[in-house]
Amino acid sequence: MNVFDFLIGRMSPEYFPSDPATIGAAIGMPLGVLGIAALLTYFKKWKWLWREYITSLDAKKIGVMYIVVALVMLIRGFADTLMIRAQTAIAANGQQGPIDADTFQQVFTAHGTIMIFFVAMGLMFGLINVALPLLIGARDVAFPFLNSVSFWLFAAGMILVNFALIFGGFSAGGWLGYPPLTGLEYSPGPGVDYWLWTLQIAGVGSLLSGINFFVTIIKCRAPGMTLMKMPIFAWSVLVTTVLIMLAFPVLTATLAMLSLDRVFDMHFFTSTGGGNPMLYVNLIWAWGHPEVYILVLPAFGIYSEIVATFARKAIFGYKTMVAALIGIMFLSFIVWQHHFFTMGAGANVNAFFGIMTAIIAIPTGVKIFNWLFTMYRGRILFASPMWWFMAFVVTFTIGGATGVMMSVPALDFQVHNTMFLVAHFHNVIIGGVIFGYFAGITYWFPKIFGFTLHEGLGKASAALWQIGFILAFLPLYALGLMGAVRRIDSYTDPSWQPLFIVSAIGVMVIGAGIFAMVLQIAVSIKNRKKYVVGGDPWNGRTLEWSVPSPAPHYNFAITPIVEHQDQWWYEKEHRQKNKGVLTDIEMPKNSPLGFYIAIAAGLFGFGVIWHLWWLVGLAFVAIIVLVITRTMNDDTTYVITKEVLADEMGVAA
Amino acid sequence: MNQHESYNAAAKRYVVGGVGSASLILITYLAVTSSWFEKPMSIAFFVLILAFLQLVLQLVTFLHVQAEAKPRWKSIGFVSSMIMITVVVAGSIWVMYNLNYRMHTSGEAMQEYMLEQNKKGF
Amino acid sequence: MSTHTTVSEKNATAELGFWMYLMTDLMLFASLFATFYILRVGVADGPTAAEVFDINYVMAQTLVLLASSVTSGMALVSMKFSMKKQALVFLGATILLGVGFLALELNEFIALATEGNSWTTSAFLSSYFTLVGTHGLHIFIGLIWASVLFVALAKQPVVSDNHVRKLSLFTMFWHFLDLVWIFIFAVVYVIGVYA
Repeated sequence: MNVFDFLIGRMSPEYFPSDPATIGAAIGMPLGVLGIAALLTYFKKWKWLWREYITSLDAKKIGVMYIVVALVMLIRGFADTLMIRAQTAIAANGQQGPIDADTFQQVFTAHGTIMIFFVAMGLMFGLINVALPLLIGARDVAFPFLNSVSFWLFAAGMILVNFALIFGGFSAGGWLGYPPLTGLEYSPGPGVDYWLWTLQIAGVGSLLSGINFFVTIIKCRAPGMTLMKMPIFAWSVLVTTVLIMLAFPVLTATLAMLSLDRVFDMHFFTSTGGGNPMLYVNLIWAWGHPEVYILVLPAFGIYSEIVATFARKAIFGYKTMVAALIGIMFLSFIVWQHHFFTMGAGANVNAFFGIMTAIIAIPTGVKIFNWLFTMYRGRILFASPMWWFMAFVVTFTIGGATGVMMSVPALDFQVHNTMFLVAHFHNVIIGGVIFGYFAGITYWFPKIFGFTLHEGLGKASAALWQIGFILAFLPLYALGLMGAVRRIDSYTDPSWQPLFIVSAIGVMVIGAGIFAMVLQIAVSIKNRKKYVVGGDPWNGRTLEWSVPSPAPHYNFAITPIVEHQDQWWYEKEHRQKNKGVLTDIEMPKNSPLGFYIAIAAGLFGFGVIWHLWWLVGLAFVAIIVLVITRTMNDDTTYVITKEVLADEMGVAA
Repeated sequence: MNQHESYNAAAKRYVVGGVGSASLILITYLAVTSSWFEKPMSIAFFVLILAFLQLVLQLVTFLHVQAEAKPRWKSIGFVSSMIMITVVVAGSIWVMYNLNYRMHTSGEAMQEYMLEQNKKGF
Repeated sequence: MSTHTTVSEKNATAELGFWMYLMTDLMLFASLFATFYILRVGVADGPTAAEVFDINYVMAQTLVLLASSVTSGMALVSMKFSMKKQALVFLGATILLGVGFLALELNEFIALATEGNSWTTSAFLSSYFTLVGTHGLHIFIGLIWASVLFVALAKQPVVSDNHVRKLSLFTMFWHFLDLVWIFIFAVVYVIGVYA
């Protein structure tokens, strides 16, 4: 092999896109990025961006970055949705749709991958970063530098998945990439490798965040805040972090093995050489099922905070809420096989996992009833976060019910991998996860930025999403029962077409809902002086509402001493001042190393994808050098004296 | 490690742990090379039990987990992780065993399996 | 984080965080173990475990790694009692023994691969090389870590709190790797060959 071949690996011009849609995206995306760069240059904001966000170790700033990336990826994922529904609405009974079959495979793969790993996980980590330290009376997370590394790894994964559009093409193997289809023999190109390394890099970021938030809750709570005095949101995050820590390593191992099959011609999941493709399905779902609970539990925690706040009542059944969360945590690890009832493990195995799946509905049901009981006899204010909650109750309950239906293996055999399944999981993810994180964004936005979002547009968005959801997904249940399977780009039965068209209309209504959100943000920013609020715009119950809005970078000038659940509400009711004492505080300094480490990780992945072994080696060394640089630096914090704090608070020291 | 532990006590811990572990390894070695057991199951059990004993010995002597102040988060974390790991590993082995038994990849073996299941009334 | 966060509180937080990372690593190895156990019958045209593993060789590896685990613990004890020179001796011994372990392992891998029994031959060998190789990669990273600590400690006139914390995290990592090796020894080389 000559030097030139060694340097370019398997890159070649054939990997530039050739169909119009992809070419359009491949040109549009870089133009968009250049546009933003131009704006930053024109307004001379590069230094500001570097100092205030890129090198910041403040969890609130990191959280905002996660949410921004997630919302941008929502648009990208939604673009995929539009293409999918345009295709299925048109391509009936021999009619050609706008997308060709190969592209269609890539589109639904990208759709699923982006929505789960970048939208849902992004919103989740973003909101946890923004809210968790404030809710437990802490200044930041336990390991602020690691937090920065986690975010930038997430961003590196995002760059990779979008770069695939420009050069190489993405995987066509579905969001979970089952071999042998995604093995070397049937997918020799770079698409699956892009998918593998996007997930692998973002996955490491998630794992580190799980560890970080776990230790934060265990070690950084305000004095006096015992575990049973924590807000329920903190409990939901605690349980989620346990799930993350135990599930993500399985994903890392499984993706690594598939990658080894592809790069080094190993035989984990090949049909020959003694490999076992069914093993991949087993392992990936051993991760995959806890993953969906990872997505939804923090959203449940957000609902607990919102319902209690807007019903002006303490959450009903705090202890059973905690018990339900812990129950879900254990149970979510023993149901994974229900994702492949039909693969042939037999009646005994199916029966065990089916029963376990049905049981997990119980603690979930307990939580829904507790939220409703919290509302009962409360003085409810139906602000826009409550609209999202009401949408959740209706939507998620339907989705949960269809889930319990499918927990029965005999029924699942009829609907597995049909549109019924597609409807179910969108039902629970949109209803549970997405509505919850949208509610959380609306709820905590004023705390971070000092002004509220436009209420009317928020309510409009919730209404449009709810109506859009009904139109887009309820027909899919019917289609599944009528025999329509998933991931098809055309079909012959003309009676399916009206339902696919209704679904397409629903998607456009959802699109209007997304547009309303974008408009809401734009209008709110433009009119922000009109929407300015103080520290406690919702008359809240928990500690974050006791600090000014926007929250100072150190969160609490005085670390509060906690004696009750809903400590802030108690202080307001009893007109008590918090007993905390003003002291000097130690804050982390900014650092660019998280950003650099992620660049190196991204280059590592890029190198493996394109067989640029020299780049892989260099990137590996770079990561080690950067980590060592950080660990050798003992000067990573600075002190804010109590005099300065008193000054900022406007009181005597 | 306990702040109040003396140098000698600490050093003793490591020596005991090291010698103990080496002994367990040697017993394992002898058990298989001198064929103390006949049945594969017995060998497997014996070896695994010795491995777990060594695990506990090293947790106590090297990693000193029992010296952690209350609440014992490291111990709780370790035990919970081991429970979940056992569930996922044992569960995977059980599921894969059943899948492999029923989903023969070769046509002939599949034919035989299906005939056999047919006789059982499925 | 007030300035009242004591050294012992900082240490406790760092140790808990690192311990939880080790728990995730445990799950990673567990997945690889499960895979190895399930795929051990997938020998295709390649050799079985009994045909390629030599228990005497593996015994040597195991004892070398065990010794390095003991020396790493002694290095930490020496550090805690501010015996800098002794700590350096034990840490240096740990590194040398670790390099010895890796050398033995690499030698075995190369021998297997050149005989034609490489990771491309069968599922059994793929999962063997990956499980044991992942452990080896962790050892390699650990050795880099230990070397950096060695140099940093050698350059310092006295032992500092920061340094004790870093070494205690390293020894947790190193002990953990020895624990995983116990099970690799038991499951892959002993049970895999004899049971």
